[in-house]
Amino acid sequence: MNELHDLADQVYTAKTDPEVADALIRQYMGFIRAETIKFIKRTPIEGQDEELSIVMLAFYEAILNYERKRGAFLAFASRGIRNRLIDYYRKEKRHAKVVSLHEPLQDDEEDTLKIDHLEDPKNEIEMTHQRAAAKEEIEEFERQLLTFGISFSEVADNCPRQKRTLQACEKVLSAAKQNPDLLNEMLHTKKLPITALVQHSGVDKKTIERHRKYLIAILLAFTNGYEIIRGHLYHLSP
Amino acid sequence: MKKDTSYLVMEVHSAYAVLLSDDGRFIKAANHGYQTGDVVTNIIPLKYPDEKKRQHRHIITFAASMAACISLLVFGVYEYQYIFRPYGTVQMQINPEIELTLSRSGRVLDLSGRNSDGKTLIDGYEYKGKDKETVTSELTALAIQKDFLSEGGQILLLADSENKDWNSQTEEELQTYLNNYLKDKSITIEIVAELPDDDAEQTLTEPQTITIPAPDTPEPAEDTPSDKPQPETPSSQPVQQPSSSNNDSNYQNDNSGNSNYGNDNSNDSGYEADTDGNSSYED
Repeated sequence: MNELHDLADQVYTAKTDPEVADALIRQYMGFIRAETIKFIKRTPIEGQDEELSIVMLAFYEAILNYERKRGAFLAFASRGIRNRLIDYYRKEKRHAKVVSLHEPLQDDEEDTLKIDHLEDPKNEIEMTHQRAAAKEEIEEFERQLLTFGISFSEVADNCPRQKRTLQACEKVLSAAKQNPDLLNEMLHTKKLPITALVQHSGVDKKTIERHRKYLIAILLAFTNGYEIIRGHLYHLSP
Repeated sequence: MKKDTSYLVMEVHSAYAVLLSDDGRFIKAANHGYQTGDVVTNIIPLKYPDEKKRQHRHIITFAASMAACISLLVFGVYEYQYIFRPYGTVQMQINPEIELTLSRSGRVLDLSGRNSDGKTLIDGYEYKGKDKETVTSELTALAIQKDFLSEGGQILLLADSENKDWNSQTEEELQTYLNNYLKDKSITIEIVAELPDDDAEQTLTEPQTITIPAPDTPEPAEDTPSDKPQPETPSSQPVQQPSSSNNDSNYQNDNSGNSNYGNDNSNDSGYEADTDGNSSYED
């Protein structure tokens, strides 16, 4: 009984703390694997079976959705996992005729996959360099963001999900780009200049306040030093 | 989420990864073995609890709005019929006779004069949008003003529709209203509501049978040959029954095929058919 209460407490802590959530997921990897085996009828391979990553995501969703009145956490998580996998298989049915690159080659005695025989048009070395550069830039960006007391997880949770709100945030970004002083002010004060942004963008103050963390992240990306991230955001208005 | 959207992997956790889409969204999605700095395309995004609630809210909102639309439609049709469709008539007889077409709610939809005085009375009178009480009281006042109605006069009200309850109720309401109205005006006018005679109506609705007694047919004469054709008697002419066994009657059939029907009084009756088959009356 105490264990159940402990688990529920852990889940409630994990709702707001990503590190506790990660620890809880690692702790219950046995349960996650068992739930995956129920569906794929074999031991899942990490990094190869999409089902395993979906089950892990469903477990995390269960952490976020859980409430004590919904019964035992593991039974609740099991239902969520089942529903997620059913959704996934329904989507996969649409692509049933697509051949998996991870299928083993026929008439081949050696244990090789189709993907191994495909010629990669990209230069692997160049790709590794690009990835390393991007990683370095992202880490620097994360460090800078942490000076504002914000993590990527929090930014993702604070990101607008409605198109209209996203467009409003784009207007704020445009206003900030046209007035670089506002970006400098933000870097110096470590605060979002809300009043000035309201004046320059015409966006409602409440919208800016509600998405403050997201706006800090996106404005920070458009300060000096983040060319790779800025290059990636090519769909954002110039 | 567009199909061709690309995502930059910003942060990796055991169960999920934080991705930055090329349109500026930060998204948590399933971690298919991603590494920070990877650019990926097909992702399985995390479903936030409020998104599920929002979906439920959308379904509830949609269902509620549909229910509201249906009830509005049904109620609207009913209200339209209640207010704007003719349901019955009220005849108002002072001496001018006026007919009011009413909706079920009592709104006056049409007004017509049934005689010349009635037409004169309602000439120029605006009835649209008014209820039956207003129109009848205003018409009464107008009748008094135009000297159609004076102290001690009488107004006859007769409601007519398929609903007998509505008829009696309407008549009663109008009678009460007009009585009160005239009492306020200090004029004594008798308001009479005439109800249709139910018994008479019922009698008329039943199928009627009328028995017409058959006329006495004359017995055939004993010496009359059966193969001879019976003379046709014009219905307009009085039929004279033979008094005896055809001694007084004379039936001739000439060679030309024309029939001569006569009796001893043929000359008296003045009817004669010539040999060419032409008939003529002679005085």
